[in-house]
Amino acid sequence: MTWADTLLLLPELIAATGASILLIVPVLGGRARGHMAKWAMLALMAVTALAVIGSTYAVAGVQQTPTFRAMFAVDAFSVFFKLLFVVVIALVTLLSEDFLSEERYSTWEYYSLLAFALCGMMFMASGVSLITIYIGLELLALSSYILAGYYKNHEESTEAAMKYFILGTVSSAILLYGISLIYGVCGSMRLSTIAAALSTMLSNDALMFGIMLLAAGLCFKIAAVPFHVWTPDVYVGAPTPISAFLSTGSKAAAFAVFARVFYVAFPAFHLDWSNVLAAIAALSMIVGNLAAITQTNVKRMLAYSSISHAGYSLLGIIAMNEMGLRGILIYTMVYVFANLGIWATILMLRRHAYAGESVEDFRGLHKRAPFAAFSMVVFLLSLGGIPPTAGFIGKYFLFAAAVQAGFGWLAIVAVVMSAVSMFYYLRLVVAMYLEEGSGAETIYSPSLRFVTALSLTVTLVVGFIPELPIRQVIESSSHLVGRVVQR
Amino acid sequence: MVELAVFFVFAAVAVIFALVVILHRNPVVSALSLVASFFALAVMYVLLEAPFLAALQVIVYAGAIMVLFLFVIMLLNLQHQREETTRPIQQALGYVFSAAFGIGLIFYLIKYAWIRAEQTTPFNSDARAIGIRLFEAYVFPFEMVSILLLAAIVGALLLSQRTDLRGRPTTGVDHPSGQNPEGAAASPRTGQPSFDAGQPSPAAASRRADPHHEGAK
Repeated sequence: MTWADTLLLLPELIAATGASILLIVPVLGGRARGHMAKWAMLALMAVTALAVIGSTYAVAGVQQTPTFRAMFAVDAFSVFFKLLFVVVIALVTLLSEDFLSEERYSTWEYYSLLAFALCGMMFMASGVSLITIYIGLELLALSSYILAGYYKNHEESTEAAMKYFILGTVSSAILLYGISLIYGVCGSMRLSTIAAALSTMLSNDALMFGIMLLAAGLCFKIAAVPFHVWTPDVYVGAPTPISAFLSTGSKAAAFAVFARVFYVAFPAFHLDWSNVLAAIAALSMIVGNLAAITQTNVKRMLAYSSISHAGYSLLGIIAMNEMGLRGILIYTMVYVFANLGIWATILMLRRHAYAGESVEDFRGLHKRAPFAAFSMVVFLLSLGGIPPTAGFIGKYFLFAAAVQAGFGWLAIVAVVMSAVSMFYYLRLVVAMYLEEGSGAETIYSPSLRFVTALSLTVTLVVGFIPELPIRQVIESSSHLVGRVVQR
Repeated sequence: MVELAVFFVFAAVAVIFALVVILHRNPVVSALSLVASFFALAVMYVLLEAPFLAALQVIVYAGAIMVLFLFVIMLLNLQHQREETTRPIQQALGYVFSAAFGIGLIFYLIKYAWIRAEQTTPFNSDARAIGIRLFEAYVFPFEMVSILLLAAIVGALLLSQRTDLRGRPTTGVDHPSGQNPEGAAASPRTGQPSFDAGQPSPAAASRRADPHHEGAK
């Protein structure tokens, strides 16, 4: 381990140090200045982003540099996800502003936990050994459990945190069990060593069992059916900005791990596990979309819709080809921004006795907040995958990858279910534009406006000029795809 | 042969006490059975020629962690609570899936029970060897765990403290019977939760009306 190695860790070190500083400030008398916490957090995110970009220059020219005994790698793939995470956390910080001032909860600890979560997510994106990946995942999960229960005095929030905590720890145990079986068979936790060991091995029950348990644990984190039961309750009960974080950042991190582990470590047994994952993906799309139709609570509807989106993204892992990996990267980005925009609109309506939760609250929104209503339509179309928006590009890549890999039936299910999903997305559009009604009060703070505007820009830019993001994604994923092609 | 006998005796002890942990109604008994189960596991480690791990198992798990568990259980002063009734379909599904999982495990156990492990280099498990590996090969994950623990401590403090962070006592569902005589009086123990989520508790309402608290902003 040298100084150069430590430099590669700079983003994680900054996030962890920043989180600790945010903890110390209130002790030193910053408690009264709660409103400063937001700016401190945004500054921390800016510095972290610079460090992430800087760390790429440290490894310029080298495609992959595993350090710390091949447990941690800074490569284009991890940098892509880390930048996405930093942006997500910065936007969640902006979303949280009103919630914190209104509910009068402590601000510094809240942001500190968000920074710890970011640190865990970055470890997940960079982990190339199952042990670092697992610890990063636990760091993210622990911070999320606490943040989900941040409304300490609300029964729903406490219940959400308890459910999330208990089911989350069970899933972590399952994940660990899988890791231990894989370690037992391969004798290593490094992804590349596992891949090398597996390439000379015949199919083996203990190994398959290990891979399945690992997949089950990860499916819990991305909320795929049948491991999805916690999602609606947690999204509804948790503080709204945290629901936004769980449905975007937390999921994106889990997908980064899912993609890296399966693309790097298990290509040898693709035939064995792809059918199981295909069943999970199909179930997620069907159950998620059909359950979303019947919901009248918008948060609950978004929860089921996020379950179905986990199903779509799984197509990229099942396909196991270049197109699939690119699809995961693009789709994760597209989905994250569309979702953050929708959550911002919900938060805007949230004032006074929990408005913004039912579809009725959206009635006649275009008169009261034309910009919010318009951007909401764009986000919903993007989630549905309608052409001029970014969602189309993401879905195109994923579905094409599935067809290429011979999973045509899965692509058909995905297309049909996307059509079904438009039904409940359009219901919101109808409520906003065609129905009259006073609806909920709207208070559109500058922060929420900024989040909406940024998400809208990304959604439209990726939709209209997809060449730019696609080139970036190809660069970010080529070294992982290289491994697939070699096999 | 002696080893095999010891193994089966302690395997049975571990399984029986593990069953007691999940089946017994009294949480103190459950916790103590878990201690017994951990001791039986420690014997397994000895049989696998890993005495240091066995000692750690006893000191850390059976000792420190379980004592903490017991303290928490006793401090919480749990009343005997009726379990919430679950839908029969959920129960049935739970039984079916866990049975399938158990049968699968037993199947693989039997399938592989006859395979002899090849004799490899003996596993060196003394404290020195483990320490060297921990601080050399695994120093990076080791340091990551310290960040994880820091986040966990922050969370435990945040969720367990009785006053909120601005120094006002918390009221509401956290401590329905503790420092909140109004709330307790308003809902005599009927087994119903004292406060609905949507309905502010009397104490919370009075807090809002109290000008002193407004000033505390």
